[in-house]
Amino acid sequence: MSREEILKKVNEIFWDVFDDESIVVTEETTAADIEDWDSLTHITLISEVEDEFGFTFAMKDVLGMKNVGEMLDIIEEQI
Amino acid sequence: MSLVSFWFFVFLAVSLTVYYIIPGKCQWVMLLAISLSFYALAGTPWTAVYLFLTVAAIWAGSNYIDRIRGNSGKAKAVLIVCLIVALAPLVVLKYSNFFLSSAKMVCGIFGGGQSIKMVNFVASLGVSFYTLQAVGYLVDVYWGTSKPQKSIWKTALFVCYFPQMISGPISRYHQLEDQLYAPHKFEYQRVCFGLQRILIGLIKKLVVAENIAVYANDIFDESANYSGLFLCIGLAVYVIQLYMDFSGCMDIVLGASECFGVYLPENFDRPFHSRSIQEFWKRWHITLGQWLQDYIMYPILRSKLWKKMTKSLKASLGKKVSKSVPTYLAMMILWFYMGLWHGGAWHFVAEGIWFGAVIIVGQLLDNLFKKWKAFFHIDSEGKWWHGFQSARTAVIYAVGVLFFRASTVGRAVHYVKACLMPASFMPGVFIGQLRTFLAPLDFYDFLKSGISVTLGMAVLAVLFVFQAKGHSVYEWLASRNIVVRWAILYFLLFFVILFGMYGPEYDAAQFIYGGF
Repeated sequence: MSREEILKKVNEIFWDVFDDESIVVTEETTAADIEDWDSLTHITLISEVEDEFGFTFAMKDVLGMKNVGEMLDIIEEQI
Repeated sequence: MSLVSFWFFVFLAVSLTVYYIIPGKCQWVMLLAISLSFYALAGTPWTAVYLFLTVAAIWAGSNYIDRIRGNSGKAKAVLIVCLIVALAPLVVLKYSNFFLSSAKMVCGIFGGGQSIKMVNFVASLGVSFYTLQAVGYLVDVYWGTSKPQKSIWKTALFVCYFPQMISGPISRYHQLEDQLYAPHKFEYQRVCFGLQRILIGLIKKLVVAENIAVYANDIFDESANYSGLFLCIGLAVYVIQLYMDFSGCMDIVLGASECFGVYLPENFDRPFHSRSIQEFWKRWHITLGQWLQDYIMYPILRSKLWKKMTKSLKASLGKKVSKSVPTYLAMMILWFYMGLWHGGAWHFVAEGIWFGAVIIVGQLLDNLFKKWKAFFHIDSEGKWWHGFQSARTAVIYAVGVLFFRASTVGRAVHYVKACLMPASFMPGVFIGQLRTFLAPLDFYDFLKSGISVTLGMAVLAVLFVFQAKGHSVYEWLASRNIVVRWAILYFLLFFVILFGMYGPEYDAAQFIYGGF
């Protein structure tokens, strides 16, 4: 799967988690850019990504990822 | 040895002198010696055995986990064993009577429980703070977010570092590892800033909190004599006392640590500026909230059980329920522990449950609130709306604090009921209660306290204005000319000496958060 395809799927997960189809995520998107992206929705987001791509994030990555680009790096590495 | 006692400042002065005289390489050893001496002078020295047990468990556990990292099952087993050992002193010493009295209560319902006797354990000083810090470090190593510390003595320093040991903040290993063990040269300005911060802490504690405490205690102790507006004012006074006491304590702790060249994490960020109770807890006792989120909330939400629950709820009740119910359940566990952390009694638990319930109800009604705001054309970013939200948050917090302050849940509920008696808001009733309150007081003492608190709050208001604008009052002070700078510092020092409550005839109360 290409990075663009992963980003597209991740974007759809964001729509689902935040109930907002107007969200457009980029590699640089951070929690500060999306109003409802707090510590709790972060965990929901992580769980949805795990279900979609079929792997489990290490806690080090859950706590350490700074933006969507870093999330994509981990997904690319795991699938 | 209290942090506001004369002997603490003698201890600090001697420690700083020795610390900056010896070679930089030996400074961390000296810091450990200072910390253990402080522990011996401040608490019951023999309880250090519990402290060493916790240190040994996390030191051995972290290093062993790092060595067997490839074997995840074994690493998890080692983590669990070490967590049990590290947490045992906290659980046994602090919560034995809570479990026993709860068991007695339950047995009492069925007519038994008479044979259950309470125990009398002496908990080691600061056990609630240092245990959480130690556990956080061990879990960080397990998660791979921190490297293990090879030296047991350096691990001991991280856990026992004296300024933060008895009342926090609860630091993370990655925040302190580069600071605690590194050599520090004497820097005049850094030590000055640290001492100035201690001075601010003394104003909060000795001038404001201690002066208020006398009257807040009177109202709470004699709460049966009062009702309505008078009790509401009493509660507001206690909230101010608690804030000044705890944030003053943090100023002294962070200031003392800064003198040694170690910057501890902040525990307060203007909490009464918060627009919701959720935001409030991100600004009040910040390090505890962060700890609970990372080491209780996250592991629960990421556990297999919770994931299974989410999937089964999604299949049976839909996406919305599957997103909210597991999260709310995890939140209630977090808030239950938040309450229990403050002490082994049900009124502390009630405090935690109150905050958790308010946050969950707020989230459930969020859409309705949004509709109301749209209907009434409320500008969410307007100053008035922000002011209203902050006032609402303060009231919700005050109700929670009532459960913290009252000795039983029943007393807290009784206090709330008495607050809400409409007839007691009549001016005549209020004036009558005010007379009852003032009658036994010495007029001169009351006047002095009133002046002290008013002036203290005025001085602190200036500080808050600086903080609100994102400026450092210490840097501003450093940029003034020498005459103005020293005039201000002498004014503040004499202000504490003249208006503070301290001295041989007066036994300054321990910090409220120092007893945990």
